[in-house]
Amino acid sequence: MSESRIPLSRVANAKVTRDRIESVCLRTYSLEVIKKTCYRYASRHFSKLRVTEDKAAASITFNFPSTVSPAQEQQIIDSFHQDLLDQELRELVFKKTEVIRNLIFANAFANTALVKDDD
Amino acid sequence: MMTEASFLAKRFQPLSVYQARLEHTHQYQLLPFNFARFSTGAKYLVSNDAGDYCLLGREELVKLVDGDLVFDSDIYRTLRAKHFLYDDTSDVAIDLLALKIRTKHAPLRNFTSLHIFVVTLRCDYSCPYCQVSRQTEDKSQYDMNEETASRALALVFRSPSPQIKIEFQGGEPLLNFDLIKFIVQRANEINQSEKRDLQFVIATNLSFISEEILDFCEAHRICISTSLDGPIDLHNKNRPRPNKDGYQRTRAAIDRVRQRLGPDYIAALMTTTESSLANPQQIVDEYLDAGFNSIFLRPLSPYGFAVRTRQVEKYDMERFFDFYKEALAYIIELNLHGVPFREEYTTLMLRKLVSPYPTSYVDLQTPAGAAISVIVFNYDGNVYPTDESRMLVEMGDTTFCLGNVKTSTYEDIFLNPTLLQCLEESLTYSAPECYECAFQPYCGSDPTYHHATQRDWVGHKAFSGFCTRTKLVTAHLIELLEADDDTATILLGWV
Repeated sequence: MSESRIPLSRVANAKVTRDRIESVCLRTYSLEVIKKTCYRYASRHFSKLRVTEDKAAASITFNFPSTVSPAQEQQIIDSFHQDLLDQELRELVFKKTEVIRNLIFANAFANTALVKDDD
Repeated sequence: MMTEASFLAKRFQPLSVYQARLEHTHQYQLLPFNFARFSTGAKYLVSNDAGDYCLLGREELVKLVDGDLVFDSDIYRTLRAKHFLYDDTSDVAIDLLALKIRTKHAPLRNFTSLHIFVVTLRCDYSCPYCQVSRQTEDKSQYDMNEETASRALALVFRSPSPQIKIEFQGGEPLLNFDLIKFIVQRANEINQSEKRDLQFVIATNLSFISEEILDFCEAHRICISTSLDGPIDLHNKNRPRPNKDGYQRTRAAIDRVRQRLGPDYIAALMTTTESSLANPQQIVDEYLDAGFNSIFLRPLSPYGFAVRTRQVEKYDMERFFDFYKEALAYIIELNLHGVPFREEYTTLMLRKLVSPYPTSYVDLQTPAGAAISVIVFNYDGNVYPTDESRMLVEMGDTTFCLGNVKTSTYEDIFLNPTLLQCLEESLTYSAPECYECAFQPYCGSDPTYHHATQRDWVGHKAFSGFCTRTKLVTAHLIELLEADDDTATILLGWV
């Protein structure tokens, strides 16, 4: 895994926290890409996602306990932005291969009792 | 008159035809795959649904997706061979991928080979991590009776599987040995006409092993599975019994069983507690000393007394992974020095990494192995789709109960709406996060675990210890396979 691993016990015991808000342009990334990336960071200090009133950007709030150093915090934020890029590429692969993936699975499960012929 | 040469020439295409084809194949097509940033982020793990994988730099990955790879370059040929792209020289890729995926799911045809009989919940040990919430020895209301066993056996032989394994569990199953004898004899009688490949296993702490029991096991070729957590201090701390002599009894009994039944009829499992974490090498050495050629490094599961005594909260999956990594490094070192020894979870994962063939390991299947691979008949006749789901019952959670052998038919049990919904939600090909996870082909689904930890059968993967373990171990094994040839040779030799 690329991101730093912070023991859960340290996170759970930390009482003092600080927020960090990242803004992501919605012309650069779709809301779908941002949501999926936030989902992955749910256990890594992601706290809140909201879209700005003019719908131009997504505002992402991270909540870091004091046990996370500024360097670790920056590492997580950098990793998040890298994951946004990755997720965008993932969506592209999915779009390009969805039809063929369905075909492969249809072939894989053909002639089994799992598939009912239309009649 | 046509010469032989001109006749042949008509059957071969001129070079220009092939050159034209080469140019055409610049337009390759992508096959479906997932990817994940790997290690320090310099490489990406790219995998397809059949489990083929390779490591790519980000630039190579982007080129692959954008259709910019140079035709017939090394990376192009590798990706074509591993079914990440296809062109008109490799148009069987779709059929091959479908065939590999079908192979991975072959066990679905012959579902339910493992049948667990919980013949008693009584036990002489008082392990704080006990996941089945044992009862004290004298409470015979926690024993299965012959009527319940007979009804369960009738269901066992409704399974279409040509292989049937009956495993006796507890508590300590040897406290109800008379019932084990009854079940073995009755199953063998039924099998005279059924002609299945019938096997028996007793999962026992070996406290009550006797000559009579060994005679019976020998006569019926029954395998023994026991628990050995490590050296004397660790074992006796993890697994306390009244005279604090659990280790001594277990080690002596292992030798006794091996002598009587042979080395292939005794196996051991360990459970990792917080106290185990500092002793990976000593635990492996204990297994070597006890004459085993493998070990299964198992974390605690979130059930039974392990939850009540908060044992399960004492370490997280990252700490378990550090323990696993250290133990595995030591095992590889042993192998490099000529001592053959395997780690079983690693072997399972490697099989998934390097072959399309399925494993019988219930916890790493999709759809989940619940009822498909294993079914549990509890002491009271209630039926559960996994060993872990009967553990939840002793915590007051009957979510997974599929019926009772006294009142339910085979169809009632295996078409139970709870089971069907559970199986549908356990398909990782469509589960949130899983469907676009590069580790998905090597993983599986464990609805009981996620129900126990998150009250949700699918579970939020960012918080899933199951997910963390699979990802960390898989990534580590790929790194080891790529690191050096000697290590790769040893690891692949285990598959």
